[in-house]
Amino acid sequence: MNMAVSTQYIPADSILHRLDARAKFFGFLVLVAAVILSDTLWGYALTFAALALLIRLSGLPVAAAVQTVRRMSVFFVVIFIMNVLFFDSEGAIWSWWIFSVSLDGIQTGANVVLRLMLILVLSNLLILTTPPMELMSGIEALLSPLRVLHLPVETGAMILSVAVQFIPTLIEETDTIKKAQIARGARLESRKLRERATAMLPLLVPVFLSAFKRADELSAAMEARGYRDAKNRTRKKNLPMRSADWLALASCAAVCAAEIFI
Amino acid sequence: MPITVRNVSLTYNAGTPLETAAVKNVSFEIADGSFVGVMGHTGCGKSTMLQLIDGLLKPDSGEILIDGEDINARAYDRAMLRRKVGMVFQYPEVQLFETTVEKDVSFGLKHSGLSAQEVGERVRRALEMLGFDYEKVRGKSPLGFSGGEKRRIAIAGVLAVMPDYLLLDEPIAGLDPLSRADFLNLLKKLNSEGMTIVMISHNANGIAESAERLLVFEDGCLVEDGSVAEVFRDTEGLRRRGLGVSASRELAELLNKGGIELPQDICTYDKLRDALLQRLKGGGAT
Repeated sequence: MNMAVSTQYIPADSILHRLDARAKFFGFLVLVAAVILSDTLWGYALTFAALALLIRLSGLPVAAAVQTVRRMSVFFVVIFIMNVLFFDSEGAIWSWWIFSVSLDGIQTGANVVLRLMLILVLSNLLILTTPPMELMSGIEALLSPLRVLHLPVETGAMILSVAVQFIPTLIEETDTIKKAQIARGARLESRKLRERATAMLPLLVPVFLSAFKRADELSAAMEARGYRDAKNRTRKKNLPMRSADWLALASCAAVCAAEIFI
Repeated sequence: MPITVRNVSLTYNAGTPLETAAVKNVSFEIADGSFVGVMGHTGCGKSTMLQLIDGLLKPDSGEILIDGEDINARAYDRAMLRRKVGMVFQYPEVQLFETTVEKDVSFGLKHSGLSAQEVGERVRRALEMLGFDYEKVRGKSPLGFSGGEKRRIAIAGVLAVMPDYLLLDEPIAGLDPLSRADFLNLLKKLNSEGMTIVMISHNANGIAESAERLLVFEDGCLVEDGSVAEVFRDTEGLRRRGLGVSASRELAELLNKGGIELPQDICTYDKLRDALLQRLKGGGAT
């Protein structure tokens, strides 16, 4: 109900929303590779263009797609400054004590920050257009080759998806407990650091207790309904990849390939 | 001094696709010493309204005055608001966290500046009000009690502060009939001693037995406001809103339809019983 939930899935019916989660997830990884590979002006132009197209296709307001970047702007500034000041290079323009500023440093800083921003927006797009449960089945599909090594992929995916499913519930509950304790006079609103630290206890204890209680109840409910292992379960949605999904993947791969040549 | 809510609106997630208007231009006043019931469907904005009155949420527009002061004004003393207004959330038992019952109940008094003796006295009184033996429970862990007992401990924690206004969100949901009656009696007693009480409940019987006035919310708007008897008179209207009236009111209406005429302001068990006895004694019924 509050701001914390706002980075999650926004339901809509766009091309990006309709794509298969596996295709989206794999495409996302390929595009991350493309971003990391881009280091020339033209390279960045291409990744920027690809990203702009994706935002357009998602039908989301630009502000929603880039909001995490804005929220983390301080972090980016710090990363940039660190890179500029501490990059070891011969051709320093200006140096003092342990700091030295060089053109190379500025360039690396800009590279790192730009790439991080692009990847952040990409992951934001993925999360905003894919329901958490589908995202988890996408991850499961990508991890499925590990089954050869006798790793319990299905159980892992089940644990992940249960965890993801309960995030909104837990956020909501934390919010309620927080309000309840504030109403009782807890000084969570206080600006004094010391008061704030001790004030976290009335929040943490009930939240953990109720999370454990929920987990107990859930496992009892699952067993009552006949759950035994994740391995032999069938899926409610079992869709094959469609041509649109393959096309999307191919486009991502094309962008990545182009980056290698630029 | 009363609680005044003036043209208050609040929208959740404003500016995003998940935007929902929780409270739309609501105004009402709650007189000192009154006992007000609040009914409405899940998601109608009643819990939001209560949190607005307690200053836990800020309205987008409009103002909320408590004792004549705007609680959202910059200079307003929040700590004072917490002492003045007590709030019992839905399932308050989850908010327990201290190692002993005594510590948990006295949590709200931590910053009150009261002497240890006074705090102890208040904790004792609050626990006894809720039917606990103070000496027996004070040193125990609050988490070892049953669900109903935990709820009473949590409510004791709110009452220990001795607020002038008590807001309750579904306090009797999930309680057994006996503890429900006990709790409503306690609220009535507190109310008769001067505490102003606002209680959200889906339990029409509980509201009829305890509250004087009833507010009905629908879709973020205040749609009914009057004495319980007045609001319950329109049984059909309430049913259309998906709400029920008290069993006594319903029975009185059915008897009326069946030709046994009874006053239309009967909402409580006692009134219905008296009216029926009177009719029987008068020899009107066979």
